[in-house]
Amino acid sequence: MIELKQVTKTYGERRAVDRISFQTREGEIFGLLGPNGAGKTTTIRMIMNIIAPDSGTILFDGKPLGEADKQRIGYLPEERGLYRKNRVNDLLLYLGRLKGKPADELQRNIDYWLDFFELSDWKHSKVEELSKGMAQKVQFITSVVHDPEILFFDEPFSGLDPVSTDALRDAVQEMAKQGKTVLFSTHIMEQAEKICSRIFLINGGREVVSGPIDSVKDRFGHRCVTVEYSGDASFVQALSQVEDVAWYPKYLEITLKDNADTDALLRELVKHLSVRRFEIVAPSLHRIFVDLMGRQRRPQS
Amino acid sequence: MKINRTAVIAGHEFRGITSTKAFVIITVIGPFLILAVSVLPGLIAQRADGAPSDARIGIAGMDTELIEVFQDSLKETGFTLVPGEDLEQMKQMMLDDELYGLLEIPGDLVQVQEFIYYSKTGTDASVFETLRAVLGNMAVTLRMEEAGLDSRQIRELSALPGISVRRLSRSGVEESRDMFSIIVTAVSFVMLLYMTILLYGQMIGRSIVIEKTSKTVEILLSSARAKEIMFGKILGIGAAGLLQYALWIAAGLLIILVIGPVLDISLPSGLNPVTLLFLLLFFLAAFLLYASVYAALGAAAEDEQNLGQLAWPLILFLVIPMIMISPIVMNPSSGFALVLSYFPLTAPVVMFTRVLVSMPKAWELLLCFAVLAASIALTVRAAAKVFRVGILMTGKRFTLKEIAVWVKHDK
Repeated sequence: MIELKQVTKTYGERRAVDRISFQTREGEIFGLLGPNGAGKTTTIRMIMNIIAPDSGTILFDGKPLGEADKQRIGYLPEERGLYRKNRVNDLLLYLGRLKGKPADELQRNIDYWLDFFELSDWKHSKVEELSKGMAQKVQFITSVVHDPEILFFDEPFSGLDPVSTDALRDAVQEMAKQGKTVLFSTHIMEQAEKICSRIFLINGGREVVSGPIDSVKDRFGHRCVTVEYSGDASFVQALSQVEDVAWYPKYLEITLKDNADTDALLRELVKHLSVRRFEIVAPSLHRIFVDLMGRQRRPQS
Repeated sequence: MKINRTAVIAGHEFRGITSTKAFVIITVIGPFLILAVSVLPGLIAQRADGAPSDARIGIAGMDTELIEVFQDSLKETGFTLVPGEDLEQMKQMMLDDELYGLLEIPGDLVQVQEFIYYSKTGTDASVFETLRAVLGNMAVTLRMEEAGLDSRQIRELSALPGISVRRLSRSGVEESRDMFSIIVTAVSFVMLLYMTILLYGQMIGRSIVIEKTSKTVEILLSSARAKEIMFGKILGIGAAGLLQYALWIAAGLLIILVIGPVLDISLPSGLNPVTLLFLLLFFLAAFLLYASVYAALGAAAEDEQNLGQLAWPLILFLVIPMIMISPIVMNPSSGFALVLSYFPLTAPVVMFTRVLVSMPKAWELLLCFAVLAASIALTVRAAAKVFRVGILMTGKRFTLKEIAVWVKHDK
């Protein structure tokens, strides 16, 4: 279990991370979410003991993180890079050896993961011969090759095709089921929504919202209605139940005001339009994210 | 499982370098360089400045009788005299490459004040100096004969005392040493030292800056401490350098102990096991010193180009002794040479030059190595601080001044 208490890091004048506290538990996928430059990478680097926090504590099973704990962690940094001149298998063995695992155990894991990503034919190729997508997969393997208990994935799906993305998502969920702790950082909310059980939303170095994903949705999400129609819908914006409307070519997405009466809304719509679909949907994390970021930005400007 | 991560990184770096073609090529060529260094000076000294040994020299305005005497005196040089009457015709022969040079004696040899030598280059000093000496000797002999001296008296009176150059070394052995051979040996060895320090220093810097530009440094940092990464790199690359030196020194010893005696080649006295040992020691000291500075600069640099800019002053300290090698070899105990032989960044090259030319006293060597050891200890600590701060800094170029501040304010 990883626990952060009031962790702060300042670079010059800028507070990159400002009094952040959260806990991750075994067997869960914890989402550290936020826009670019929010402080995600700095937070992960502090947990990894790559940089030291100015104040606050980071505990690892109740104790401060020591150098030996690095061996229990697998890390996929956001900034991807591999030694271009190295051969895939040699590179994975090297990085695994740095994590203190014996070579035979590493080789089993390497073979498993290369097979998982259908990269076995490339085992002895040089990294520079791989396509970008293949290099991304190898990069992912570097973070799991030593079978760590704790995994930090910074934007793990970037650069992967849809098939690989699905395969990787299954693999990550499987790791959580095995009791590993997965800390997952992204700015793409659809992905977080699919796999995270709890989230921590960070912006400008500060906590915006945190908790189990369902309760975050309950607290911050407005219900939405998706309508497919034909006719002139320009009157919708003025309706009493409507908070906001997003226009799309074939449909519109209506954000409802709190406690809005959806039956009344539907009655209003059918008066003027021919409605083909009317669906009440739960708010997406994406929507909540955009709303909260917007709310934060307004007082500042 | 407890593991020495410095050793894992060092092993990776070592394999990375020793498996490159460049390493193999340089390692193989090295012994040939040493061989060339040991044999060439002797060969070059024999053939001073490369005068052709079968040169045909035209001669105009001299009696046939005297030409015979002259030709006789030139026996050892291999020059052939070609007598002729028409100077213009002979000039044409020379232009047609039938003659190497042309000598004109304007008047009686006894009275003549000046001979004229026609040369195509004007720089074949060995030829015209030889001709001048022999002909001058003939003229003086003729004059003495006219003054009534017999040939024995003339020989006695005109015999010039020679000079034998001996070098007094601390070990008390007197050996005749050819200045030219000393300089060539010293320059070659010092060049080798200079090149390898530069090569391996830059290799460290590049290897670290590539970790930054290829974004692999964060993966390393998630597994190991900054210090472990730095020392791993220095030790791994240093081990590759030592392996190379070990092979070269083995080749050198083979030349000294086996090839030299078997082929009966006289080896320059600079090439002996003691100087090879010093070569290794100075390389090791210089490597550790320069490698740690390069490691710090590599960590602070934004890219390879930036590293080059930051490392300029460092290279300067390597280049200064190279430029000044001639005065240092000529006068190894000058104040200038002494100062440079104790200043840490120039000490390895300059002190090694002194070792080659004239072995310094034991306390001088001890002092030099003490200075180097202390400097290495200080530099490594400062470098580790700069490394830790610099390795995560991206997107900005720093000046040396800004980097120096990291050493002071590192938390």
